[in-house]
Amino acid sequence: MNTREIQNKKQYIWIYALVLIPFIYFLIVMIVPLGTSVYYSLTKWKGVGAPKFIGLKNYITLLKTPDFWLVTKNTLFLCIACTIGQVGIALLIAFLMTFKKLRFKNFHRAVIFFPVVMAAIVVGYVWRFIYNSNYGLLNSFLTAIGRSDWIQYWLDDKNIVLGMVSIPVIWQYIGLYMIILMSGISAIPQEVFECAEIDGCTGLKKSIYITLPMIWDTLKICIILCAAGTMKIYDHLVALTNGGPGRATESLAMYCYEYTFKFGNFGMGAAIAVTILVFAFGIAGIIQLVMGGKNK
Amino acid sequence: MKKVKSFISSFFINVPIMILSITCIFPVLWLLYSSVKTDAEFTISPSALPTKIHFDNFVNAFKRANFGTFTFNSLFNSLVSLALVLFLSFILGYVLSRYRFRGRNFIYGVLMVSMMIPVYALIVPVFIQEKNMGLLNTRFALIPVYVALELPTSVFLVDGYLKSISIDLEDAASIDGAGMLRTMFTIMMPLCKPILSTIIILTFMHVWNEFAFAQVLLTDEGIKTIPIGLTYFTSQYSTSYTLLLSALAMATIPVIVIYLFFYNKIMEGMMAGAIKG
Amino acid sequence: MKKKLAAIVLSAAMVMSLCACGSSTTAQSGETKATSDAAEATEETTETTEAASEDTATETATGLKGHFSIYHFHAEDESGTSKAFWAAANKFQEENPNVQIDYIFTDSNNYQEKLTTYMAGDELADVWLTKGDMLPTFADGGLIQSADQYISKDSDWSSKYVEGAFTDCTYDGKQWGVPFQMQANCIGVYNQAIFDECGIKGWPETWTELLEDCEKIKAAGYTPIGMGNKDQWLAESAVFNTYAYKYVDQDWFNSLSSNEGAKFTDEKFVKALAGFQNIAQYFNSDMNSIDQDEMYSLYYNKKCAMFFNGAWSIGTLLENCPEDVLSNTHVGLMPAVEGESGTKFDTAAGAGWNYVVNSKLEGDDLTACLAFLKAVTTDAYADDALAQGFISAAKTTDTCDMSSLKPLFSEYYELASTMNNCSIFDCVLPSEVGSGVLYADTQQLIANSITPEDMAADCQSALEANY
Repeated sequence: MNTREIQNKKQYIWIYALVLIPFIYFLIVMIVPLGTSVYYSLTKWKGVGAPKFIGLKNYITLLKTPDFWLVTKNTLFLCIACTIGQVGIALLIAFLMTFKKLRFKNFHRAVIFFPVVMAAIVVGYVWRFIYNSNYGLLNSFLTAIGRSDWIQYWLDDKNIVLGMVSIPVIWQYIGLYMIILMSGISAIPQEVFECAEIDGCTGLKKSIYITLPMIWDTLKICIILCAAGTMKIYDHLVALTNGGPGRATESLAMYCYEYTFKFGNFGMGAAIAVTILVFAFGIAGIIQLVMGGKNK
Repeated sequence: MKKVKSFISSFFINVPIMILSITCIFPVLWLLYSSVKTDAEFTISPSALPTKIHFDNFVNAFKRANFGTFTFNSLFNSLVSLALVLFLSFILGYVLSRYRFRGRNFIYGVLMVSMMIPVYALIVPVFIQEKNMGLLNTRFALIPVYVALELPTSVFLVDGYLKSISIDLEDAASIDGAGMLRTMFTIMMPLCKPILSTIIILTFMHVWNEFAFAQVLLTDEGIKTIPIGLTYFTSQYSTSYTLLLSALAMATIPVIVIYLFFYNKIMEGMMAGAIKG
Repeated sequence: MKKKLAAIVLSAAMVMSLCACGSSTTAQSGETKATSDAAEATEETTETTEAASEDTATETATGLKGHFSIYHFHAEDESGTSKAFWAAANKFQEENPNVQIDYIFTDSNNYQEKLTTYMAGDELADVWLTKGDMLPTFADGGLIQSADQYISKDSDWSSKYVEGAFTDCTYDGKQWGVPFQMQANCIGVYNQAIFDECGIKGWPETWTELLEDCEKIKAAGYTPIGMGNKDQWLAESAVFNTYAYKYVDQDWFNSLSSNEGAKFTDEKFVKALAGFQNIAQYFNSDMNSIDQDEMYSLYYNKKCAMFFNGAWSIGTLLENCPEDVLSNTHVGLMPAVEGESGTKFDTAAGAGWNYVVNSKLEGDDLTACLAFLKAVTTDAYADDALAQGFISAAKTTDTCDMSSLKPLFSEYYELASTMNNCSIFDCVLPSEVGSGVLYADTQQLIANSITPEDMAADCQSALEANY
């Protein structure tokens, strides 16, 4: 589609030069350590002396640990919930930003981004006021509207806690995806909108038939960013519940941290990181498949 | 009837967003008013308003967290990383989105997957690598890591943005005899202002707040960054929350300034959409 | 246009050269770093020397010289053991201007992460703080030298510590570290005013009494026992650990930790778990979602009548507790359970963290370092720590003014002398068990989402995997 032909050999060389310099740098700084990590995952290493090669033993132990599967399930749940929630709501708001009916646009734009820059500890505090089962805002509100039968121990009940922690995370990052999507919308030529409006295509119709297809690639990137972000979610869970009760809200990244730094079991920690990577491959593949291949 | 309908629709458009916006202000307010409380007040009730305003918290926090030096270091790291990320990601993003060449999908794949690696998996290997290269605990210890961490996201943003811009302009330029580099920098780069602004906001924010690597790779007080300063309020058995919060409030200001400033650039892009084709 | 292009190319070139610069620094690596380090270090010393020479110049110098680095978590704030540490360290520096000390600070929350990274990267400092569960790794790896070979030679030094101070740093028959604190991990703190209001005479002597009292407090509308277990260590390390010692004893634990027969699945231990699950009904309903500080705020706001926590909470109370609550606050030992072997005096307590010395340190540097460790753990340090509301691992000096202690702290100090100190689980067991499974499962235990039997089996299998 929007691609250009490579005209001659000279251009070929230029292209490779431009791509390979940053990419090789990237390989050295990120991928070499990652390779080292993959190697550690095949060893037993407590951090002292040379790592001892033990093959796939760490992975076998890991796959046999029920906690690992619980933590994986948590992470995947959060990944799906946050991707749908964050990008979905952000998309909706970005659409609304193109509507004439929406008032105070500048105010909303500025303010919805505020939570993004807040430290996780602040977000954790604020949401724990809301969720607290004794004096929290949510339960007070439910009492006030006469639905005290809906009162729950929001962060103490292991059956609902995972859903509860996903809400603050979704809420916090709406602004981030909102600005990315809006920068996508800004690339749409104004006359496209004008023509559409003359043809009577307004409101939701305009969003779905005009805006959405034109920002499809940006949307795809938002989804990738969001999935990637929640696959390594750590700070928020530490601030909100610290993984509890039990391991009900622990993520793979926390599990990896625990093994690497708390237990000093570098081999196992690396093995967890590698499994995160495997999941990442899967997710990236699914996104490519669902949202249209690379030729789009 | 039509009026009623339009009223209802505008109600459903405005009210939920207003509610969301208000919830977004609350943490800022909480942070601001909590940062002027005393620790004793804070522990009695973390959500109550202060009885007396203690502005000296800011002064104490500034001193204790060594903010003078650390702000400079953070700015240095953020700005240098930012410049490199912008430059490299624009080149990579442009070439990846505009040209088909062998190895392109491989590069794509590597970049995408590397976005999902939790930083904690990289800390020990990076530490050892930097130790071997002699970068450990120097002023340049963090920048290479930050650039690499931010590069994939930025490349994807540029790539996605360019895909939605047609190539007519570039083709016209090349017919006029402009070379690839010139097309890239003088024609396309200005068009990409909105997305580059977005990248500036994101990268600055991430680098400014980055903690895990800064914590491990630096030990010298002279080169540490602000997020490390934020841990200086915790001792073995207690945390001085109000000082921590006032330091957090101060640390957040530059990010908000950058956001508000560059956000307008994105908006200009939105307004000026008409000139693109 | 051309100019712009040129500018771009130029800036590109600059970036490239910057990259190149980066890598060339890399090549010179060691040298550059060493020189800059040395330069900075000299700067630091000149400063300190100047500071010292202002009052008494160098005559007071003890002739010690050397250079070592210390990795620690003592923040330069005005509270607790950190204040005592810095007072002692600064005094030492003043008296020994020829000793160069590089302080490497990381706050206690992130301390472990950096320590493990240093270990893996073979960049450990000359002295650092470590908890008992890391000791085997360091000792077996030959990274540390035992401290007792030096301490025992110096009778003036070895006689300064209280009994049992070295229990936590003993491994493989040697004492590896230098302790600096000695704390009970569990002490009951209660509000007498609420007790009076509920018709409770005083701190319960037996577990049955405690349960009856809790019932009365609950009936009066208060939370009987505050619990802030969000961070997972409080319920296990600061409460359950001591409760378990009402059922099992030190010998059982020694046998458990060294795999000599005792098991988590032993009937006594399972009974302890069940008893603990039972007491959890008197905790606040949000026990697993609030942290230690929010638990304090329940207590400050007179919402809960008592809580159990480590002795460090006394320092915090003295600092932050409102006067009307503080004046009614007293401390007590966790009551014994009738029919079980443990007494109320059995308490999980110990030094927890210790200074350890890098095995590579030798010569003058080592001598200076040992003198420093002596200074920051004994004598004036001990007195100072006491004044801050903390008991150090060293005996106080004769000149220490006990009458100036805050009443609440003196009360605890009295109790502490009667305690029978038992090992802290998470300081001795491998961390996968001690601060992994045991923490997570205790949290589920009090939330009633795991049975005592399952938890015991879970812990046992984790322990067996880590012997």
